[in-house]
Amino acid sequence: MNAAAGTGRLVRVVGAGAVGARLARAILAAEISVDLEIDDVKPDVTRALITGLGDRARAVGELGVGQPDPAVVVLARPKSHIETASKALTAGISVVSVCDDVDDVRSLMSLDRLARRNNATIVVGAAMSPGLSGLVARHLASRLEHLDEIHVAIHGTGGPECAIQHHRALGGTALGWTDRAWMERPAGSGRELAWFPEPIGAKDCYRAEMVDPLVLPRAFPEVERVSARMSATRRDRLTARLPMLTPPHPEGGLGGLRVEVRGHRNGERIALVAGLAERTAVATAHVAAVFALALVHNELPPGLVLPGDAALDTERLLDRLSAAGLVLHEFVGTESRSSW
Amino acid sequence: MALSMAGMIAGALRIRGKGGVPPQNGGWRELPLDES
Repeated sequence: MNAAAGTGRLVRVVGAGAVGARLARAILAAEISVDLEIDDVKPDVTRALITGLGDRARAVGELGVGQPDPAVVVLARPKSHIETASKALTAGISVVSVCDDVDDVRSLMSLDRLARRNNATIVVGAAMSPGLSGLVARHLASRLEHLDEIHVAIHGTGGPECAIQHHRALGGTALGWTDRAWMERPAGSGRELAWFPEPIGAKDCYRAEMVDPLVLPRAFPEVERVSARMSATRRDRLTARLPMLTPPHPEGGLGGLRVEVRGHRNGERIALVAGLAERTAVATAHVAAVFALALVHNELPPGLVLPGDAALDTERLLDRLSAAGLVLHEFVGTESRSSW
Repeated sequence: MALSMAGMIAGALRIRGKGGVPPQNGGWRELPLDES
């Protein structure tokens, strides 16, 4: 088990945006003995958040020379996370990253050896997708005798940076895991109608430059196909390769996650579908908070940790998310009709 | 001229249509976490 350096009850949250602010509140609400350090490039944003959090939160460096290192650093700011993560791991401090950028996540996954060498842990993709998608997939897979496909779809965005990433993802190159091999397709192609939990309902979703096909095959070595799609409007798709025409909204609206696993049970081929309708920033914050607190409690092994990995106690993590207020749903009553 | 026509046709093809038919029955229920 991990024995992180620094003070075991101090967590540093890097980024005080839509996700970071909720993450800080979620950690303080869930664990009474944890203190927080907030680190953001905008001092006024940091100060405003700390004022709202009370006396268990302070700005990084507020105590001056000699202040203790945190046990965990949670990276909730826009990419890139690689430099901060490398420095923290080198110092033996565990890291949780909510990054959903493919290149950044690929780099973060390469820090496994550095983390192990320093007896620290790096949790990569502790967001809604990736993150909650892997946990839900693991939960559904436990009902199958053999899992061979995972298909993820998301709707909505968190804060402004997430909206920018969403826009970028529709204009990039989509990864897919097909027959145990990587496949690249143009983002914005491959339209499928995905049915999200109410009140979101049915949304047309498209391939996009998303992280799930990169991380899920590693967390589920037996899986043969992984795809990821995101909902988009006609305007989103037409303007995907242009600069954003309108500034992103400071607070994303209701978001959705849909995870479909396929495999065999009792000799039959079946598909199981589960999902979530929640503000994307809220869901992401709770997932990151649950992983950060699992690190505080030394519940995660050293090295690279990917949500959904069989070595994790996924049910306990999901129970904590449920206790925090995230309500997962499963689709029942008819077989999935999606073809992907 | 030909290039702009091709671009317009490609754009129209890119945004038209729908991605499928939603399920005609069934629905969502809360996921029981202790069932597995």
